[in-house]
Amino acid sequence: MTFRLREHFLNTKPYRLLPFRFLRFDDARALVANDVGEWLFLTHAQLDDLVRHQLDPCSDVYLDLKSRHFLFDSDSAAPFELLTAKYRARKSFLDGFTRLHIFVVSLRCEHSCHYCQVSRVSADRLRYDMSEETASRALDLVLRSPADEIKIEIQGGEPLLNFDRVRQIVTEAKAQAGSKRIEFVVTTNLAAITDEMIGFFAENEVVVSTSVDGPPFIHDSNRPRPGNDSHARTLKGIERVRAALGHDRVAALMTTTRLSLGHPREIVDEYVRLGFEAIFLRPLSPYGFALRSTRTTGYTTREFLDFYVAALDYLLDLNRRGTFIVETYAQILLTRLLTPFTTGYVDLQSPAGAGIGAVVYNYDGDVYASDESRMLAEMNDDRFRLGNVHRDSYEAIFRSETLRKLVASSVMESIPGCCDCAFLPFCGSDPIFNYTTQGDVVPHVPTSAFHEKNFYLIRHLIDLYERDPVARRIFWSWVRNAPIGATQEVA
Amino acid sequence: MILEVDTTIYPLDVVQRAAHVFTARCFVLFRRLDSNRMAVELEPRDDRDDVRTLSGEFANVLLDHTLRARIAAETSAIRELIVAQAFCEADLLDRRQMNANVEDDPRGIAQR
Amino acid sequence: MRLHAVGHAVRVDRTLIGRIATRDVEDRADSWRVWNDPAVPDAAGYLGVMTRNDASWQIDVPTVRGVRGLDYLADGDVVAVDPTGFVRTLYRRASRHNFILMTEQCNSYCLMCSQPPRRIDDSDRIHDHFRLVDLIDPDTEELGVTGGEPTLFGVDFLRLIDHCRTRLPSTALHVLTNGRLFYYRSFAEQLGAIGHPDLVLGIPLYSDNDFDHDYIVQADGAFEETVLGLHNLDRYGVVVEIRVVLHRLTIPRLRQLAEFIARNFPFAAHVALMGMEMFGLVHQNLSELWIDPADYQRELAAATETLAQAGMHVSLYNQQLCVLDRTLWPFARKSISDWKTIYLDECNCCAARDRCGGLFQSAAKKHSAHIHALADGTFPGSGPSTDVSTPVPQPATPQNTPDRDA
Repeated sequence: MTFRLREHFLNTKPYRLLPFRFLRFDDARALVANDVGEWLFLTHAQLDDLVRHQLDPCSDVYLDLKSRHFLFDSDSAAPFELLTAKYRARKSFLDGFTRLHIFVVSLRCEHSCHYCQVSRVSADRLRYDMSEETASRALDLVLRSPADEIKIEIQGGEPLLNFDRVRQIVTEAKAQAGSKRIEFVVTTNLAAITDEMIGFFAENEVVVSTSVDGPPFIHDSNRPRPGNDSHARTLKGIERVRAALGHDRVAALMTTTRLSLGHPREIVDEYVRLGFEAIFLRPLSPYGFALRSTRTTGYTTREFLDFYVAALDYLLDLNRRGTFIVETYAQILLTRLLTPFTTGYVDLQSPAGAGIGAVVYNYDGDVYASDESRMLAEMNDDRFRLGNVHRDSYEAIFRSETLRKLVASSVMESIPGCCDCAFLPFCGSDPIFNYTTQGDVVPHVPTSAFHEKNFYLIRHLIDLYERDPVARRIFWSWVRNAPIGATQEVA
Repeated sequence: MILEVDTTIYPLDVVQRAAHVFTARCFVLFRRLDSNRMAVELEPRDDRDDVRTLSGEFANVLLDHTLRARIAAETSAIRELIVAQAFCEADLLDRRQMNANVEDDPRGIAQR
Repeated sequence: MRLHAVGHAVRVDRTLIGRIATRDVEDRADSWRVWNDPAVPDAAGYLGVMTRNDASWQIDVPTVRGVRGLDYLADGDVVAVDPTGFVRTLYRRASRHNFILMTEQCNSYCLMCSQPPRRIDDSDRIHDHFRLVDLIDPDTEELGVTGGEPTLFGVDFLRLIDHCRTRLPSTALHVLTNGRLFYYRSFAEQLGAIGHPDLVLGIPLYSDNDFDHDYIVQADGAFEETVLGLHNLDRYGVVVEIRVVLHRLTIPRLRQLAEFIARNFPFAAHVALMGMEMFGLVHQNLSELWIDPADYQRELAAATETLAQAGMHVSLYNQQLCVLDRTLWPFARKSISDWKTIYLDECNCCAARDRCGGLFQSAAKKHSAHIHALADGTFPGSGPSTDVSTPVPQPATPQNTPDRDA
């Protein structure tokens, strides 16, 4: 047998384009990205050559674009197979329909956090508690979800004030789970935690999620309660829960207020001090009490982003020096940028997670597509209520016209501004946010705070990734959720 | 500021998409001048926004959207096919060869 | 170590495959009795008798005499003796590198092929393979299946895998295949349906684009077939490993290939980046293929890092530690089959010799110009794993991101 020359295998057919979007990233570079999340930088000249079919087939950039499915030059089925497989993978968050089921078991709470999304009531108003019957009916709907794995998140107000309901939900869900795997999370300020509750959580593998806004001077100012000792109580609660359930069974979130903006490092330091390996830098949502107190606690998106970048820089520095701590929002965006996998984060997906990814069962049995739409109803706008557990069937709720329209309006490919955006595969939509801030479920992208934040963060992460090799390694460790060196890798 | 746009070069869809980008900074109005030309009126919301820079940027964005339209013309059908195939159990393309038996080997893969 | 010898065969009318028995055993019909005593053996019922000596016994049993160089053979090892007196070692219990050479035919013709294919019809071999599987000790931990291209036997390939499943249920099977025939979905489905408990297919991929891959394997359409084959195998639950041979044609875009693998085949249980074996067709293409491994360490490190950071399991095979970038030592494995391994004179005083996999026998005349002994204390002391067994398949990167914004 003889060997055939290289020329025999080289393709001579002119190439054709595969679908992609682009962004003029800066003066020197354009970014191209396709629906399966492949992206790379080109010079502006290369982008023009690409579109005008003038790229040199022997060049490295041609081969890079070909292997990432930006162009094709033969009848090979390979690019098509890879594109469909990866597209399906990225959208696999749709599998199983609604996976996150949120129970608002009470509106009662003894805190008065400035940014609270709930119309909380004082601890004596028992009629704002979810009844046993309501919880049962809601659980019937939960278990109708086709997903093999679901998560039940119990919140309030302060859910521990209605602990009987918490106990009932967990116990009944487990009893009726059948072949479903159910994960339980209780979102609590931990002020009212008792040994009995901790024991119950331990027995039933319940995970606890709490709020830590930073060191006491920030946390207590954001989250007033009688005695003004929220921080101390939360810490005590964290210690007790960790001791009984394990260090990793408590997660913490923070909310950024005007006061937080000036103290990114102190907030991160507090998380490190408390032994958390993840911090979620969350901005204020424009709902509920937060909306009402905008003048005192509000800030612009720009101000939040400055705070975020400062905190991120500090986090990268800590990681560089050997402390493993992840910023959760960046972790989500980076997973989308760097891997072919999906992320089950319902607040940034297309179609939006409202109803189809997550659903809320209010204390009175009303069912909402999201926490935010429940809040809107409390402000007398109930257009996003899907039904009520006592009156409506699963089909009536989950196939309602309300939900269908909401979800349909959230598909980014149909939103002006989003449809042409290179970051489309990494981003998502939040129709309730749009409605609340701009008066329409379809956003006006150029003036949207949601767009401003996400566009900026995605761009910032890409920029860091490209120019800083150390940041690159740290980002990958976040995506893998393991410190550098913990897994087999190049030191 | 009024820009005159040749609609034989920049179709209406392209002009609309480009103009939409500027609606944060400007008020936008379209007028048809004749069968080949339209007027795009951009009135800055902020007086400090320089009109010359604005028109320069608009021209560039118009060009970018023309490029996007070209890409879309060439690739929309393929995109629809990819999305449809991703969610469809059956094969939408002609996959007879892939569905053949290895013994039949219509593609001749086993050829020594 | 020699794996074959020639003796003088008497009464061997066809190839006889049997286990070595150095003392009397019960399953005589499956055993070659090794008898080096000059006295006449009690050979009744044995498959045959094998002796080192030029004995002149007259016995009714097939005999092969004057067999020299195979004294290492132990009980339970399997040999094949053919009518010409050619004795081949098929299996050794003491070895970790046993394999079934399925066929010498191949549908590719890789520029660097170390087992050059022959255009013959050796499909009859399948019977020998079944016989071999019947004789192999079920406690054997690992068994390879190689070629040529094993899947060319089509349905017989599937039947052999199934036979291994029933006869050797706790033996891990590692099949080396170009994967091209799994372009046909039903073939992948059938393999998956067998449900072998520990099967891995090692499939080579040499480029992120079809031009280069097809050229290297000298087969039009091979890239497309392999890519689709990999996806079909995953679809039906067959575990795959991806292998890359490092030479001058694969090095320039090695990092891009690593990215291509991480993004398109994240389900691959393992990726092996392998130093080139200097045996076979490579010598006909030497100028195009040869690159001193010392000259590709940068590309190798970039590719390895790309794969490892994406959470994939990576191993480097056939690398000498003195040439290998220090940061890559944790990935190096002692991968060369025991019967092919050599060390050079320079290696005699090397402090890392025990950890190093050495060189291919075939590299004696052509190897890196930078092989040198490492002094004690000049390299990281704590030992990385030098285990060379097929890694246990593990799932791809786990998901740990939260569900929502609260």
